[in-house]
Amino acid sequence: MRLASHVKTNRLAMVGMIILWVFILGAVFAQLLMPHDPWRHFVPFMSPSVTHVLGTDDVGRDIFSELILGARVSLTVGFMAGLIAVGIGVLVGLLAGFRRGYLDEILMGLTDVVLVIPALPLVILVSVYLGPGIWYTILVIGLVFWPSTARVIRSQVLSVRQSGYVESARALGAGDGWLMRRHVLPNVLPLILAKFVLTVAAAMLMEASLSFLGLGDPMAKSWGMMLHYAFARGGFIREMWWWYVPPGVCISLCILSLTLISFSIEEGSDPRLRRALDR
Amino acid sequence: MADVSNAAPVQRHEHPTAAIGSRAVRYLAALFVIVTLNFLLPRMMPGDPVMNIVGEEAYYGSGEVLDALRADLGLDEALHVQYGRYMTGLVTGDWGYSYLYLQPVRESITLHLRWTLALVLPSVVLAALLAALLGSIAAWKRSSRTDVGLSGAHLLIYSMPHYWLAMLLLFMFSFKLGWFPLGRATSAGASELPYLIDVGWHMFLPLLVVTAFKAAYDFLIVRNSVVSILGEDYVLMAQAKGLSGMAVLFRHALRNALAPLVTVTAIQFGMVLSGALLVEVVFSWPGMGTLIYDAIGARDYPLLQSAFLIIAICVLIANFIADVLYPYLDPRTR
Amino acid sequence: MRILKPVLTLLAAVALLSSGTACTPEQPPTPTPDDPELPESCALVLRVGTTRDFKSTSKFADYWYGVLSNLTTHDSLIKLGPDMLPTPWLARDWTISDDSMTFTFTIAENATWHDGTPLTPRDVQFSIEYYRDRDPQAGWMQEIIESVSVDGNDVVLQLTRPYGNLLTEFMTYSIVPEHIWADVEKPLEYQGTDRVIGSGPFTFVSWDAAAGKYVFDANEDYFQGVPNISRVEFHVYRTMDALVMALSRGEVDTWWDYSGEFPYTHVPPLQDSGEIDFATATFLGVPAALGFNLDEGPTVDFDFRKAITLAINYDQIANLVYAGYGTAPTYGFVPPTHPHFNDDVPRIIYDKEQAAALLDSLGYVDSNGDGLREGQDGRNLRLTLLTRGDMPGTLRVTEMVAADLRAVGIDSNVRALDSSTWVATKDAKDYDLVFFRATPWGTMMHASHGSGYFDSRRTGAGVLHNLDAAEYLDACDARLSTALPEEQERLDRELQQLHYEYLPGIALVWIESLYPYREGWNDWTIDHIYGGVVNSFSWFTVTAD
Repeated sequence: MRLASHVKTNRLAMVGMIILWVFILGAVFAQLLMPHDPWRHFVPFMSPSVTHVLGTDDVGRDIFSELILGARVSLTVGFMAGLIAVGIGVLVGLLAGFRRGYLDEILMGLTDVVLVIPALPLVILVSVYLGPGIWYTILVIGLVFWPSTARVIRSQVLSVRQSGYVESARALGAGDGWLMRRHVLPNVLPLILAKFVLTVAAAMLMEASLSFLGLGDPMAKSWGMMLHYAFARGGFIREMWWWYVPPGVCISLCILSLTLISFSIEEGSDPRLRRALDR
Repeated sequence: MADVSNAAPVQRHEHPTAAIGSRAVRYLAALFVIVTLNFLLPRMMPGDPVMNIVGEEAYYGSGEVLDALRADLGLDEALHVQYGRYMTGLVTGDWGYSYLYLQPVRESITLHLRWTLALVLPSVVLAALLAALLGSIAAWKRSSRTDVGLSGAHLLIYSMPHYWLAMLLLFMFSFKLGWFPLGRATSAGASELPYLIDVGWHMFLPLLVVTAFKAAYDFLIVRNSVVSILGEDYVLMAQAKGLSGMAVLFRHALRNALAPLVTVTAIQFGMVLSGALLVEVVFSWPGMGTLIYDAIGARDYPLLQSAFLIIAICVLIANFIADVLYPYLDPRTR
Repeated sequence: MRILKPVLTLLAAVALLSSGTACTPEQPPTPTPDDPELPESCALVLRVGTTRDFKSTSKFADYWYGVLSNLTTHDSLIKLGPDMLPTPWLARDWTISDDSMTFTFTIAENATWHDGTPLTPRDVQFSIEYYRDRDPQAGWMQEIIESVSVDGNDVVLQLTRPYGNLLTEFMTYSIVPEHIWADVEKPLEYQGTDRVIGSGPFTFVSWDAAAGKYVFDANEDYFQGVPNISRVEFHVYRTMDALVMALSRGEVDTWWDYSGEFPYTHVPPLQDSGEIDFATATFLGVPAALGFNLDEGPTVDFDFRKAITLAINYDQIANLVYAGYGTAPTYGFVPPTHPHFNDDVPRIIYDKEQAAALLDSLGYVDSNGDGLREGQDGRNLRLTLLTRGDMPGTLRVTEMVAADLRAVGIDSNVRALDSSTWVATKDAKDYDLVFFRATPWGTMMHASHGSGYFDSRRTGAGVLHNLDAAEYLDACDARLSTALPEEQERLDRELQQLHYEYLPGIALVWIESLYPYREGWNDWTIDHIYGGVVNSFSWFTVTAD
């Protein structure tokens, strides 16, 4: 596929891919990579040493092991929420674009509403309502981040529909399903992919923010939750940079790699698409 | 908050004036839904606001006292009655009484909104200026060391959790170096010029963080659009006609890049507004973020409703302005 | 970036300049002779840092300001002394009738309000009636107080039934001026600037919401003499980190909190600074406690509860979360600081084997070898642990208990909720185990010794009201209806024994509290109930080098 070859030739995208793969592999093989059981209590507040590369936290847990486990939790939240958001967005966008009329008005009206409600306060409110729990967090983030995808997909569907060859195909009796498979999907696929990657990044940031405010799942060791404990339990004031810097760096690197990848998808796709993504 | 995925501005290829009319209707509908959601969401949350007023040790017998308090706050009425009162209150300007801040909601909101705007407005302007400047420089010297450095730095900031950077700065500059205060907006007691200096001093770090994140986003937009404009025929023509590099950059490229910048700024205004929440919490800045955070904890319904509404209205207005402006600003649709 | 540099330099210069002028870090204790509002001789300013959620200057509506005003601007009839005994304050003496139904308070003659008006027994009568009628927190008074009358210098309370805990209750209700509040129908919403007027050792000067700072000046006309400190400031910080930074940088001299312990995680940086000393005292409350659902689920069974208590590693909690300042508690719930502490009640022993054996005997056995025990229905034993998501220390304790339970084959579903949701869920009895805390005052309320948390007839945001055994309720009633010291002692000991026999809940740890203060300050008085070194007694004992 053209996109894949483009990613290969784009140096920055390669960097992004490599970083992301490192984290994904870390998350998948966490059990093998963790030097210690992340729930085991050692001496609290230890400085980095050979046995504890990043020291121990306030209750004596090995920070490096927690960091590796954190990749699993944070990436899961990001990808699952991204899937939900993009799934809803694509569905709404396709429906609105194809059906037009009242359905379009209603769906786009709904999109406007969700888009306009400030995301973070809404997510906080709904998280408080649902209570903490990793699946709730995923659901909430997924339910908030779909509108921009819906919009972009819809306008893409509209512009594909309006193109001459599709109109003539339609005149010849082509159905919606055929149009979608033959013309719309191939056109919007890179767009969906780029949106997905961006949404994953946004979801990871949102999870980190929620956890920082103490609204995350305390039993799931995400990077955000590690930061929360580092700040709430004295890591910051005790200048334990080996506790509060690594999770932040990991979050930043993940977001960075995802952003680089989305940019390269953007550049590798056709100019019409690029404009859609600009917005 | 690098809320990247929802940053897409409204843009559809419809006839400008007709579109504005239908958009206005849609925005009104959106407003109505938001107002209603604002009313319902906090009330759907578990927890009783009255409990927060009496404190954790209070004994309230069989509950008559709580009922009286609830009646006092109008929380005992049927939902539709409360809704009716809420709607008329919105129109007449009576937004209720905040049992958390112990003053009329309107006062709490104006007080906190002032501090948030004091933080956000300068950030937005500063960020746009910085981004326009640095973005066009990076685009002009595309692929040079300057471009890579600038783009890299902005991408990096763009990728960080806001509060984390805020915490690092607070630790470095306030605690370690002692250059800045540890939080809040003023040190109290001063007035006039010393007061303003004092506020500026308190504001520096939070302003820096909010500006940095907004600028990081703006920078990428300016750089991308200037790059694409620099490749367009008329710019190449201008260059061929012998116009100097700087003249081409500023007369053509940057001017055209301002269109997406303005719209994105308008769109993002509400986002930055709500996104300042975490930065406010880190710096104990007495703005809307802190207000919403506390109000959620205490189930202060009237306050929550109005705070959400204000932010939503800001976003709505910004969106609408962007909608109206976009066709006129975008060189491609002009 | 070249353009940025001069701008940043300029801004940094302005910042440095203003830091030099607007807020010079001062070395405490600070004589400030150039401050016009302060008397020039021996002006001692105490700056206190707190992280509590202060919003206003309404003592009725703002819970935290209410507590603060009791330390500064307002007086109660009596106070709990450092020796844990009732100490005269606005009431210079009192008598209790033999039937514990008539309480007579003799009011100090020379007390005045901050606006110059004399404080009279009529003000006291008015205040009690006012609380009874208008303050939602004082609902109990409507049931207990028959009448309040003035007899010369005495205020006489006639009760509807014997009430042994009245003195303790009255320690938290401060007397307010009739001439200000008489016409106020809704004290919670009253916005008048005179709402800060009291009779206390300090007068209200200012509250700056944006800066988070209260200022109080010594009351030169105070009826018990002028406080040693001429000005006290309370600086509100939103996080403990910011407060600790402020302490080590010298922006504040000490820390105040009510019902919270100074986080041990934050102690070493202060110790390292070499400028902070610590006072220690046994905490009166219980910082981490575990309650059981006595209405439904496996915890209804006493032996099951007993097994749970045996499965928890108390020393680990004391050492890891409370940095070694904790000790394993007894089954009696309240720590030994309380008068009439019952040392016959046994300490809780961590004994995994015994816990496992007990669970086995109850029929909870792991028959499918997955490491988790199954109930009679063949399903894994999975307990719902309700805890507070907004209290990181409590969360850590919860994590540890969950791990301890896992070690004896019990799975858990941890629900960490914010305070409002926690209250709603707790009241709906939607848990098997609930993590809570008991404040110093909370352990003394109701029939004392923690009974306020367990008596099923109680209500309240922080209490469990889960135990309805007749024997326990009778003991509470008996304790409530006597003011005779020896009778109180017998019942206090009995209540602790009953906590052991019925197991409605246990303390997970008792702690030594640490109170940091800047070197140079001496002679603090430690007050167990109002939060360490900053209290009504310290005002008259504290000195500075």
